[in-house]
Amino acid sequence: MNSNLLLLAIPGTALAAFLLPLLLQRFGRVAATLAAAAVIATCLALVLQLAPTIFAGETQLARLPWLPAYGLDLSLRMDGLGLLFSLLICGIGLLVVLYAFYYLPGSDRMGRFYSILLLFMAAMLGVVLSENLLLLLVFWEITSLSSFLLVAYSHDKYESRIGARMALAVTGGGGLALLAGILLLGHIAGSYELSVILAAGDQIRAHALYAPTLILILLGVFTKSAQFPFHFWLPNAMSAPTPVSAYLHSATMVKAGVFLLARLYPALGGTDLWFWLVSGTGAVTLVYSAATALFRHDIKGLLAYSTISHLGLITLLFGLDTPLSIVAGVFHIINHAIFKASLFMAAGVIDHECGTRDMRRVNGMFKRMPITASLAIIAASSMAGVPLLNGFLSKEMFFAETVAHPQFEAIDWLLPLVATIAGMLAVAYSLRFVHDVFFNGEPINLPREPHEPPRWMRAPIELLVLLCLLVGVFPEWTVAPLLDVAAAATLQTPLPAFELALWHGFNRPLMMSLLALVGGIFIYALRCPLFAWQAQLPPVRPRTAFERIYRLFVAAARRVVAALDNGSLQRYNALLFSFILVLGGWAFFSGPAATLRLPVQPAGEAAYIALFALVLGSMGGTLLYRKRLLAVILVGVVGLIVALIFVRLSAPDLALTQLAVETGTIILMLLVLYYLPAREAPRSSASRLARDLLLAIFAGGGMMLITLQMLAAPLETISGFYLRESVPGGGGTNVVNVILVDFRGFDTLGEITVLAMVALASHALLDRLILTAPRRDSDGRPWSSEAHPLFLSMLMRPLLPLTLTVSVYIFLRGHNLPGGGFVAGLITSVALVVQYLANGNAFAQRRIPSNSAGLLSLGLLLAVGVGMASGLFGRPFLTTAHGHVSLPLIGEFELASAMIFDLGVYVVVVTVVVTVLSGLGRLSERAHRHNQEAVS
Amino acid sequence: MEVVLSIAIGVLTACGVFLILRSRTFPALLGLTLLSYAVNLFLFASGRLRIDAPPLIRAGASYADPLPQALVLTAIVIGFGMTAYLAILALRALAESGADHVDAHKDP
Amino acid sequence: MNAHAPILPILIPMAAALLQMASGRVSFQRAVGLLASALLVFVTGWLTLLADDGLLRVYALGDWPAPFGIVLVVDRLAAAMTLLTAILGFLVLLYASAGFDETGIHFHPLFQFQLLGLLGAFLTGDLFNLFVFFEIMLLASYVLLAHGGGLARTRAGISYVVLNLVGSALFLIALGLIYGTLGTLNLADVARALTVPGHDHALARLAFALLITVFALKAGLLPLSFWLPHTYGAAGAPVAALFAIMTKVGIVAILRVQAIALEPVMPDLLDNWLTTLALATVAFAALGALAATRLQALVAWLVLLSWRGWSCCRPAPCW
Repeated sequence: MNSNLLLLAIPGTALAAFLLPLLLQRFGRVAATLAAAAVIATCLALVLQLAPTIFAGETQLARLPWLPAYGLDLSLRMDGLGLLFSLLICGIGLLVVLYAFYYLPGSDRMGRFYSILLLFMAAMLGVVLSENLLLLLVFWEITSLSSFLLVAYSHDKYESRIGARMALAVTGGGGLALLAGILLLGHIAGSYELSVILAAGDQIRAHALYAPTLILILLGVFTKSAQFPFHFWLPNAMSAPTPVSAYLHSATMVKAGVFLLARLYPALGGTDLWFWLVSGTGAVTLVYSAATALFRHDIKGLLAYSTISHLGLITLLFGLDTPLSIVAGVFHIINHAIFKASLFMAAGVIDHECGTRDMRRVNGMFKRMPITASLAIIAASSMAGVPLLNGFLSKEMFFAETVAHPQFEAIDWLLPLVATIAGMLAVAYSLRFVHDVFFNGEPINLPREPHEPPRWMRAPIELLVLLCLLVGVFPEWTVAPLLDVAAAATLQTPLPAFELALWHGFNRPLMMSLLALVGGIFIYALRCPLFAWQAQLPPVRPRTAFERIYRLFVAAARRVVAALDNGSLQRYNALLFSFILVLGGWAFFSGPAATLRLPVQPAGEAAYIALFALVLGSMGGTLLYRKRLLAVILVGVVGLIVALIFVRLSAPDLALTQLAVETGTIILMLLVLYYLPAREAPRSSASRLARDLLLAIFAGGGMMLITLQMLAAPLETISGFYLRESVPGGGGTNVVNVILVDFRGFDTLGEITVLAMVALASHALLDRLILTAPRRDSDGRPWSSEAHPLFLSMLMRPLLPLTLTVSVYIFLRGHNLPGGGFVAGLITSVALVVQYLANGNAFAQRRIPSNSAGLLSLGLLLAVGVGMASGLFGRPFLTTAHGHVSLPLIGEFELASAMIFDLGVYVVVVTVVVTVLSGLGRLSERAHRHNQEAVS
Repeated sequence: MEVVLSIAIGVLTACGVFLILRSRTFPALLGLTLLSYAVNLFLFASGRLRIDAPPLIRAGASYADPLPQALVLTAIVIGFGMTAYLAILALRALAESGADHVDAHKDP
Repeated sequence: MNAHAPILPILIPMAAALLQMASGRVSFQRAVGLLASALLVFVTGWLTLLADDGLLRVYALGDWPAPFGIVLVVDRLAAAMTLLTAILGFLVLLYASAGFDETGIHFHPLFQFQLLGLLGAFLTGDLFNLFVFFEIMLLASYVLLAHGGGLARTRAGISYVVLNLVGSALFLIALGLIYGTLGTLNLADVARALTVPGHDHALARLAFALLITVFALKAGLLPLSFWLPHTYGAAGAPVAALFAIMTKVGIVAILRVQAIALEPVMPDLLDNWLTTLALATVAFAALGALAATRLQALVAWLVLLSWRGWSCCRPAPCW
C-alpha cells in the first residue's frame, strides 16, 4: 500500500471507528472490548507496517489539502519520535483495554468508556503524527476534551467532576497559550509545517518575538505535562478510573507536553532563555514533587506526584540542552511509560481487591497476592533506579549529564546535588510504596478480603514488567534501535556517541546512584518524625484554592455583566442612539464632504402653517404624553399633516395610504388605551431627562442636517426606467402602483407576508387571553354604558355598501390612477371596523369571516399563484402580462395579470386589519363573559 | 420647501426619540409612530421634492420620482403591521403581569 | 430547471406556510412542514453544488433587468448559508414536532415564514428587498419568541421588538441616504455608483455606517448586544436554536456590504471599529457565559461568540 495512505490511515482509522464500541455495546461488554481492541490493533499494525522505513532513517510525510488559504492542511509526518510515541500509544492502549475490561464493574456496558478512550487515542496519535502545527493544536484540544470526559467518567461522583473540571481548566488554558505561541511561531517561520519550522531554528531564535513565542509554547507544554506550578491538576485527576490514569497520566497525555518539547527542540532550543526556563522548571518540579510524593497516603496520589517528578526529570533533561541529555530525555520517556503504567495498574488491582488505596490501611499484601506484589516490587524498583532495570539506565544517564554541565562551571556541585536529592526522594517513596503496601504487618479494617486478581487482569502488568527487565538487562538488543531513531529525529542532527550499558565503570554517576539508594533508605527510616513534622505544616490545598479562584472569577464576571447590562430597554435604546450618533458622526466627518448648495424651491404660506401645526402636534404629543387620549389625538393630527405633505409633494398614493393607515393606527391606539391601566408613570430623574433630551436633540438635529444635505446633493437615479416602461411594460399609468405590483412586486409579496403574520400573531397571542376592561377612564369618569349609540348604528349601516363600492372603484383604477389593492383594502377594512364599533360585537361577528387564516392563505395564494404562473411560460417568478378590457360604467381599462396580484394584496389587507382590530375588541367580550360566569 | 421639510423631519425625530426613551409601553408606541413618520418623510425626500408632478403618465408632464414613493408605501404598511404587533404584545404583557413597564426582565 | 433554482428556497416555505394556514390540523401542518423542510435541504444542497463553480447566478424577478427590478444573487456564500439554514431548520422542526409546536397556535406557518425571511435575506441582491426580508424574519421571530407563553417571553419580546423597530427605522434612513445620494438600491449597482465621481461622499459614508449599525444590532455586536442573551435565553428551546442563525444574517450582511462598499469607501471602519468591537464582544460573551446561571442563558451568551469568526478573518486592528 502507498505509504502516504498508510500514514493518513493511522489516526484516520481511530477517528473513523471511535464510536464502534458504543454501537456494539448492545451485544455485551465483550463485544465492546473486542471492538476497541480491534481498532487499536489495526492502528498498531499500520504503525508496524511503516516502521521498517523509519528504522531505515526515512521520514514519511503525507498531505491532504484542507484549508490551504489559512495555511491549514491535513499533513502528517512520521519520523523516529512519532514512531516511538505511536508505539507507546497503541501498545499501552491495547493493554489498557484488556485491563479495563476487568477493572470496571460488570454492570458497566463499557461502550461509552471505550469510545472516549478511542477518541482520546486517535487525538493522541494525531498530536504525535502531525506535520502541521495547527493540525497538532486541533488534536491537542481533542486530547484535553476527551481526557475531561475520561476523568469525569464516574460523573455521579463529586470528586470526579471537580477533578475533571480542574484538569480541563488548566490544560485548556495552557492550550490557549499554546495556540497563541504557535500562531507566533508560524508568523515567524512563515509556515505551520514542521519541516519548515524545524529547519528555520536560527531564524526563529534570532527573531524579536522569540521570547514571547517560547514562553507561550512552554505554558502549553508545562500545563499539559503538569510542571510546577501547574502540577496540581494531575493529583486531582486521580479520581479517574485507574485504567485511565495508567493510560493518560503515565504513558500518553502528560507526555504530550514533553513530546512537544522534544518536537520543537531544534526550532526553539539552544538559547539561554530555553535553558533557564526549561531546566529551572524541570528541576523545581523534580524535587518538589518527589518530596510531596513521600507524604501521600493514597497510593495513586503517591504515583501521581512521582509521575510529576519524573516529568520534571524529563523536562530538566531537555532543558540541559546537550545532545546527550536529549537522548537521555527520550530514553526516560520510554522507561517511565513502561514502569509507571504497570505501577498504576498494580495500584488499580490493589484498589480493586481491597476497596481502598490508603497505605495506612493497606498492609501485608505480599502474603495475599504474591504474584502481583512481586511484579509491583520490580516496577517500583525500576522507578527508584535500581540496577538491572530500565529506570536505572536512564537515571544513570541523567546523573552523568548533571556532572560537569558547561553552564555550571562555577558551581559544578549544585546540579549533581539536586539530582542526588531527587534520587534519594525517589528511592524513599518507592520504598514506602513497596514496604507499606506489601509488608508492614497486617491490613487494617479493609472493606473486603483481598486475593489475587483474575488471570488476565494481571497479564498487562506482567508484560510491562517483563519489558522493564528486558530493557534493563539487554538495552542494546531491545530498545537501542528505537531510541536511536527517536533521538535522531528529536535532535535533527547526527546522534552523539553513547553506549547503553549496565556497567560504565566506577564513576561519579554510579557514586550518586549508590548515595541515592542509601540516602533514600535513610529517609524512609526517618518517616515517622517526618510525617509528624509534615502534619503540623500549614495544609496546602490547591483544589480549594483553585475552587476559590474559580468562584471569585464567576462572581467578578457576574458583577461586570450586571454593571454593563441592567436589563433595561431604556438603556439599550440610549446605547443604540448614542452608538449611531458617534459612529454616524465619525463616518460623516471622517472624509471629504460635498459643498453645500442651498435648496432652491420656495415654500408657500401653507407650508409654514403645516409645519407649525406639525411641530405643535408632535411637541404637544411628546410633552403631554401622560394625557394619553390627548396625545393620541395629537399624534393623529400629525399623521394627517404628513398625509397633506404627501399630497402637496406629488404623492397622491402615499397620501391615500397614509390616511387609511392613520385611521387604523388611531383605532388601534384607542383600543390599547382602553385596556392599559391609567397609573401615573414615575417621573424620570433630572439626569435621565437631561440625557434623553440631549439624545433627542442630537438625533433630531442630525436628521434635519442630513435631510438638508441630501436634498442639496446631486442625484442621478434609476427611476427614468420606471417612467419609460410603466405603460409599455407594466400596462398602467400609475407608476407607483406598477412598481408595487410589477417592477418590485417581490417587495410587495414580502410586505403582505408581514401583514399576514401580524394576523397570525394576533390570533396566537390574544388567543384565550382575558383582559379586564377598566370601568373608568384615566380621569375617573365612568365609560359610557351605552355601548353602541343608536344614531351611530343607524348612520353607519347604509354606509357599508357605499364604502365597499368606493373601495372596488379605488381598486380597479389603481393601476392607472391613485389607488390600488392596499388603499382599497384599507378602506374596506376601516369600513368594516367602523361597523363593528357602531353595532357591537354580536352584529359584527356574523359578518366577519371566522377562518381568517384560510383567507390569508387565499390572498397570499393569489399573489404567489399569479407569480408562479409565469413559470409555466418559462419566465422568472412574478413576470406579468397585460391586455385591454372594457367594462360597463367604468369604461375601458387595461387588465394586467398584476391586478390578480393586487387582488391578493387586497384580500390580505382586509383580513389582517379586521382580524387584528376585532381580536383586540373581543378581549373585553371574553372578560365580560368570564366575569359573568364567575358571578353565576 | 426643503428647509421646511427638514425641520419637520428633525422635530419628528427628536420627539420620537425622546418618547422611545420613556419607561412605559404606551409612550414608546407613540414615539415609534412619530419616528416612523420622520423616517417615511425622509425616505420620500430621497427622491427630491416636486410640486404638482404626480407620477401618473400623461402627455407632456414632468414627474416626481416614483420609486421612493413605492418604497415609502411599503414602509408605511410594514410599519403599521409592526405597530399593531407591538400593541398586541403590550396588551399580552399587561394581561400576564398587570404591568406595562417596558423592561424589568432579568434572568430568573 | 436550473435557471429557476434560486427562487425555490423562497417558494417552498411560502407554499408550505400557505398550506398550513389553510388547515389548522397540527398533524397535517407537521407533515407539510417536515416535508417542505426536507425538500428545502435537498434544493439548497443542489444550489450549493451549482454555486460551487464560482459563478454568480442572478435571478431577475418579474424578468426586469438588474438595477430596476429585484434580483436574487447566488454565490458560494449565499448558497452555503441557505444550505446551513435549511439543515438547521429541518432538525429544529423535527425537534419542535415532539410537542413544542402544540404549546400555542400557528407555530408551523410562522416557522416557515421565519425560514423564508432568513433564506430571502441570504439570497437577495437588492437593499430594499433585504429590508423587507429582514422584516419578515423579524416579525416571525417576534411571534415565535412568544410561542409557548409566559411572562418572561412576553417581556423579553417587548424589548426585542422595540429595539428592532428602532433598527428598522435606521435601516430605512440608511436606504433613503443611499438612494438619495447614489440613486440606486441594487447592491452591485451601488458598487458601480460609488465609483462615479460627483456623489456626496459624506452622506454615502454615513449611509453605510447606519447600515452597519443595523446589521451589528442584529448580530449582537457590543454595545448593541445586551438584548440578545435575554431574548435567546427566554425563547423556547427550538426557537432559540433557530435564532442562532439569525445573528449570522447580520454578519453575512456586513460581509456583503463590506465587499462592495466598505473596502473602497471607508476601510478604517472595518479595521478599527468593527474588529475592536468584535473582540470586545467576544470577551464580554465569555464573561456572560461564565456568569450565567441557567444552561440556556449560557448557550445564549455563546451565540455572541460567533463574532469570533469575524475577528479571525480580519487583520489585526491598527490601534
